[in-house]
Amino acid sequence: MNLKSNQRGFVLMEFAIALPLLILLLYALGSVNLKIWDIAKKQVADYVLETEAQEIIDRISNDARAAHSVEVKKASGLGDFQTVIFVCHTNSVKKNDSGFYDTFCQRIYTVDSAEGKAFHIYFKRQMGEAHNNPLSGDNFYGDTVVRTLKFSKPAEKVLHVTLELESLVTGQSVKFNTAVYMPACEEFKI
Amino acid sequence: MLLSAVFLTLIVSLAAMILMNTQAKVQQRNSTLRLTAINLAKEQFALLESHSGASIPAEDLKSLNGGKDDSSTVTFEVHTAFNENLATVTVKWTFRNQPQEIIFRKIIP
Repeated sequence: MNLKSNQRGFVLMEFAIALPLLILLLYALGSVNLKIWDIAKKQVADYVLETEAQEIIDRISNDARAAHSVEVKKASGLGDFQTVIFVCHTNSVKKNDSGFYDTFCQRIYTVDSAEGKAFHIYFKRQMGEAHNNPLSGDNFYGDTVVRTLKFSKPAEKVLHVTLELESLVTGQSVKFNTAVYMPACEEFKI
Repeated sequence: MLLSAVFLTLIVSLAAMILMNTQAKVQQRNSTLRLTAINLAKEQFALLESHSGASIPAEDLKSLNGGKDDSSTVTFEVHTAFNENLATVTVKWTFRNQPQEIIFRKIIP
């Protein structure tokens, strides 16, 4: 390559100025990308928190609406958490062990913790059943823990539900209060 | 190479602008507040249905009116009106200095 005498050293000079500048800019771009990723993660975690809480409230409300009897009791050895047991009549055609047709089913919502740390809400079909159906927590996009699950009876045939979930990703918590009227409820033990 | 440095500067500034815009939106969420309002309205409807089922006169339903605080920072104002069989629940709150309101209506048998 033949360069004129006044063009010699231009590439070196360009490198000397542009390379540190480029490194600095790449660092800035990387930091901004990491921050955007962090914001996206938090946003998804908040969405998961909100959706999980509303789904649990909806499930409990739907089961309460159809319940013929309701029993609320303290979740065994777990502070202020409560367990609710709904008994609903069904049109089941499945025979039980005694050879009779089951015409009722239990739907239980309780709180438990696998390792004594993070409390989750579980759904069970009978009291002795293992905790196989977690309704909260263990979500890849945003783990949550339950802080409050309480039930009360503010009026005749009305079940009041208070649910508070906290996101382990963002530390944000949502607390929903709602109530369900149970027209078919004949027995309400609290 | 100098040209790439100029382009990269533009990209970084653009990304930073998007970031600054997004961060403000993430801090507070109105969707959670809307869900809280829906649940508060359901609470009122359940109480109204219970009153109706127990044949309590409509005049006594005024006791259901009142506010409720479900979040540490936001206060919800809940107002219930009952006209013949139609129940109307109005839930109000403030989000980023903007007043928000949802009106729910349900026929109570």
